Amino acid sequence: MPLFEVKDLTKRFGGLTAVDSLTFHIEEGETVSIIGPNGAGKTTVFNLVTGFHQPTRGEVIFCGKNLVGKKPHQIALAGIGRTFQLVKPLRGLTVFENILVGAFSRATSDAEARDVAEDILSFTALDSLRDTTADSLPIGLRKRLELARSLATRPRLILLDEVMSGLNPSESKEAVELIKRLRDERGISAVAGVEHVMQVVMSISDRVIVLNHGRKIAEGRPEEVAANREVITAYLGE
Amino acid sequence: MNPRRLLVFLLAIIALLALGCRKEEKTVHSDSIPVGIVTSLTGSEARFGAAQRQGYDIALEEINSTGVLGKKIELIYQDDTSKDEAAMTAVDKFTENPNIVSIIGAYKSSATFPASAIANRYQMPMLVPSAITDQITSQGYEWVFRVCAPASRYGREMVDFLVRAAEVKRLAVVYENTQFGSSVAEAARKQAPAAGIELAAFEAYDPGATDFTPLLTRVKSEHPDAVLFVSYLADATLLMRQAKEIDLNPKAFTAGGAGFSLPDFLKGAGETAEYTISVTQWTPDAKWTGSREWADRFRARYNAEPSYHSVQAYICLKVLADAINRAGSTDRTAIRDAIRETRMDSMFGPVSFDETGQNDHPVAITQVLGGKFVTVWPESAAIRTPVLPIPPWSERSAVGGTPQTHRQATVSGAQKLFQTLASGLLTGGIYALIGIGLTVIFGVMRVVNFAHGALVMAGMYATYFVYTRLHIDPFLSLVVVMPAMFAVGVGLQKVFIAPVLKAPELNQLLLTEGLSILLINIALLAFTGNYLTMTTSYAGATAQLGGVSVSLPQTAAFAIALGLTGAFYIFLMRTDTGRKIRATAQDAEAAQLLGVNIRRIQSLTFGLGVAAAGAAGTLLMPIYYRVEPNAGSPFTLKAFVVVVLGGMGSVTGALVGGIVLGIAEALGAVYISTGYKDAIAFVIFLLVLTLRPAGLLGKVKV
Amino acid sequence: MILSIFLLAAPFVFETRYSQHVLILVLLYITLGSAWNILGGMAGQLSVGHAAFFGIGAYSAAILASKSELSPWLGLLLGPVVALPVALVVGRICFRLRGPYFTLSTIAASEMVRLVALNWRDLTGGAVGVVLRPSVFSGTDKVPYYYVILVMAVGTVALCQWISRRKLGYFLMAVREDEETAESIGIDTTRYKLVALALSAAITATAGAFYANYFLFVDPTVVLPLALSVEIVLIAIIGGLGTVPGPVLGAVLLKLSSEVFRNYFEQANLLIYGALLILVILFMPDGLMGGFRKILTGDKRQVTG
Repeated sequence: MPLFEVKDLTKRFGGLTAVDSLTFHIEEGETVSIIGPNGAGKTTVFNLVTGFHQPTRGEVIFCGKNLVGKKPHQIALAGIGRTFQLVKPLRGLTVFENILVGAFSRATSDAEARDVAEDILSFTALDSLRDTTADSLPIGLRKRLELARSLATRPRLILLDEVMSGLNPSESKEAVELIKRLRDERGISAVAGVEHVMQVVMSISDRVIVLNHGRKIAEGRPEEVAANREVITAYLGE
Repeated sequence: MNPRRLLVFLLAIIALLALGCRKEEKTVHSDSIPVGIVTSLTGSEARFGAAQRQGYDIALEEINSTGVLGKKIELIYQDDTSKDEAAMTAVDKFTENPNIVSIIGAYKSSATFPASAIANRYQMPMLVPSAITDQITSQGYEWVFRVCAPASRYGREMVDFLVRAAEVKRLAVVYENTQFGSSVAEAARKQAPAAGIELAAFEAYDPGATDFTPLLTRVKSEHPDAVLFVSYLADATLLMRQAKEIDLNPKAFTAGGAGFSLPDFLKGAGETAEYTISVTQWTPDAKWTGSREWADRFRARYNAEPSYHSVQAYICLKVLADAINRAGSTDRTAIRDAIRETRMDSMFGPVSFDETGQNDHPVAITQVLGGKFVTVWPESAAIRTPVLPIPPWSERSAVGGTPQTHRQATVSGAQKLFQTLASGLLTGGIYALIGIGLTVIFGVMRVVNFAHGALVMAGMYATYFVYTRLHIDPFLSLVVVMPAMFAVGVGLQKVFIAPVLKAPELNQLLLTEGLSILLINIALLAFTGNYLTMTTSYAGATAQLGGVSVSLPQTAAFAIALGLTGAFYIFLMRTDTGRKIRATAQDAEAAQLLGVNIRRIQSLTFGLGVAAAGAAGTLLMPIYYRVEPNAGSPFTLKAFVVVVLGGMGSVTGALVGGIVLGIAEALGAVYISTGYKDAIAFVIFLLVLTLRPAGLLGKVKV
Repeated sequence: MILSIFLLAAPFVFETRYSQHVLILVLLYITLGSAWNILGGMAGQLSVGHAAFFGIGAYSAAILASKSELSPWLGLLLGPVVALPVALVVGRICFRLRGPYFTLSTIAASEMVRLVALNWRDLTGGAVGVVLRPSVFSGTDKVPYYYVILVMAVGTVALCQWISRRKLGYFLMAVREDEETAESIGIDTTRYKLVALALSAAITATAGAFYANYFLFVDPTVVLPLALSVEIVLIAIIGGLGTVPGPVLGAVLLKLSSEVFRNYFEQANLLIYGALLILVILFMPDGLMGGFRKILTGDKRQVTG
């Protein structure tokens, strides 16, 4: 049984169909990228999965349970983490404290939470910055902090929304490394919503799903998708 | 600066402040006997405080001409600023001062009642000149003595009068929801049934209310033979004016003293005061020893008519001096015992205290005849018989409007409804104008302006001064006030608002709240807390439309409010600047890219919003005739309700919202309950926000 | 250490009733400000309606005194018991709203409570209010009251400090920063907002009951005015929103200044409040604590527990 499954997921806002009968699945330990041109519906999919919107139709199944109808915090506690396109660190808190907040949500004691936070702190190589206030960090480190905070909730699946936007090449490289380590060292499955950077897509993904106008237009290994005619037209025809 | 130095610095400031808190012990001359006086020298009841002070001064002069126990009495005044807590603090401070021998005060029942508890607790003799709430003498206090007649006495005499002189069967009671108002109203309520009087209505109103027409409409529809008002000064004036406006014509207008018995009432209410009947504790023509001479002396000294408030104060001090003399010492216990034994004949009648500390003081009834208070009851004290039934408004001097040829005996259900709707509609127009200012500011700048009510108040004050100093009619003064308020708005925006536009919402909220507090307190300092009232020549002019009384000034205000709304709408929709404002409201960044000077637009918009608020204030003046620093406060919340009802950012929405709110309030006040009238606005607010957050008109547009 | 000795000995150092009264007021507002801070500062829900809970507490005590033989001190327990369901109802309605709408709704709710107190004459005495007879203590000596409120104030501040270091505190701060983010890391924002509200309301109600027992007079203008809600907010904000020492500092400074001005120039009292508020927002948006922190430590932690 796949770790995560989306079946016939559909969302209509008034007359507009943002997501149209989307179906895909993710196996444990996979990293999947969802790509597509601007407005293809990636963020909406993430919002549907994490409970910020309710789907008009369809199911979201995680570890065998249907998540539709659950509140965002319940979904987070069930094991799905998420980072946002617009990063929102907890400004007044330090890096360590930011991660600690995440750790608290699943830890059963103060001490356990702190242990988890320490662990994630070093995993994401943020130790040297542990006492810096979150809002004095540059964007690249903020994104990493956001990821760290989400990791502290010990998810089995993590949704990374536009994780590369705003990063310079070296920061991108670091991010890619981190995402790979997520899978390799921790066995966390990831779904990345990325827009343009094909190189990144290639290097991190086991599989790629392409959306356009809310529909899935292609799915497969990165090389296959990159060569797909429809995908190319979707991007270039914009 | 290192932490240690900072801490020391901080502690130093705190210590300094703490020192500043030390109560100053006023130096007391060793050859004087200090007496503590608590009264309302400033604030809403300042007129009464002034009257009391006059009484104290006359008494002091008399007493000190011979002295007491070889010394002079010294009065130490504490102003309670018409606030109950301040009166309590004042009494507390007095009791702690070992020099003070006794206390006299306060003015208001709501202040005196809790203050007397404190005096009693600390064993300080206290004389009560004017607070009439029965509770003061029913607590078993041993140290508190009341010179004036209590509320139950008012009730008894008034009911007696109504039955025997006026043959009243149905009585409507309208009272302010305070200690004073409730006491008298309850007294009337208790004693009416025994006299065979049925209560047609029993309505409490929030003191400081601006619009009594729904309440009076409700009363009118119950066809009372007589109406009993219990109010302080500002409300007394307004009640009579509005009673005329809606053509309420009972056989008699009666009142429970206080506001209705001040000479200021005669001035303020003008001809609407004529024929009003009130209880009184004393009149110049009272048949007590020395009463007339005292009145003459008062007139000579102050060039004004004396009221019983001055007399009560005078008598208290005289009683105290007498008691100290008899006690032969300044020991508080001795003084208290001496007060207990008081048997004094005075121009206030005989004074003695029963075991509860109450003086058995009779109450008389006056009627305003020929612009003067004339005692008409009881027969033993009456100068002449009362004029009953009083002539209806239409048969009195005609000031505009069509006179009715017959007195309206009944009010049909339909008329009641239309009267209510009319009231609501007219008030709604003003609400709409206030709401428009707020919605425009929010639409463009996303700033929630908590200072809006204070700005309305500013408009009211501006109009008041333009009228009294420059003699420009309030409606015309719009031409002056609006541009002035616009300029003020622009200024405020540049100095206070612009810096926080990018700040979190919390900061904006707090800033405008701070601005509101600032404005209100500047007004308080500049103009004091007293009500400032004005009268126009067309005050109280009404038109009768099928049994429904419509106030002409209010209709004019409504029409102008509509006109201004229309003008705003056209401005926003048709002019270039208007388009720019709308563009900025939709998307400030895009507008900027298109060449719109955002900063100018923001200043302009805030200025417009403030001008609208000011205009509303201007229009309120010819209707309600009075202003005080807190007059604008209820409008802030109501403005938000209007805006939420109509949709943030929508001018037409504000119009609709304003009218809906006005009508809902009027309907609620008349058909459900006057006391909870303000709650209607809140309930609507919460309902709309939870059920239909975009407002009745559903869209967010300017 | 010195502080504790000072606090314990204070009423004997300041012997006049008036200065003892000021001390009690300061401690009362420390309690109120800190209680409010749990909801407003830590959780970021700017309620300007806390007078409602204060009033509920005060009236609980007053009604016990006027309608039963029980001591009004039991109001310290009854107050929170009554305030809690009210808080939860108000919370359910108001928490659906954001930003200024939320604040306005709290004002509306508080005013409704005041109107109920004003009009439900049989229960509350209406405008007339309730005069209480001193219970347990004599009412003439302020010293025992001082110690009661001292315990409450210290307890509340200690509670705030404790919360700020634990999961609850961190979660509330996350809710304050961004509710969506908080949800996405597993925080049930509605639940935690309600918890903050419940704590805040309960403590405020207890303080109200204390006040009734101390001041011995309760009426709608004394315990339920909008101005009280505003004052509580101001104290927390001027001191430093969200910080533990903030409300303490704010209460001390504001109450002392207010009394100083009351002695010398009554009317300017509130004027100073207004001016201070504006100045703080314009120049020191993190309040005095924030300002001091900046001076003390340079760039480091701004708003923290």
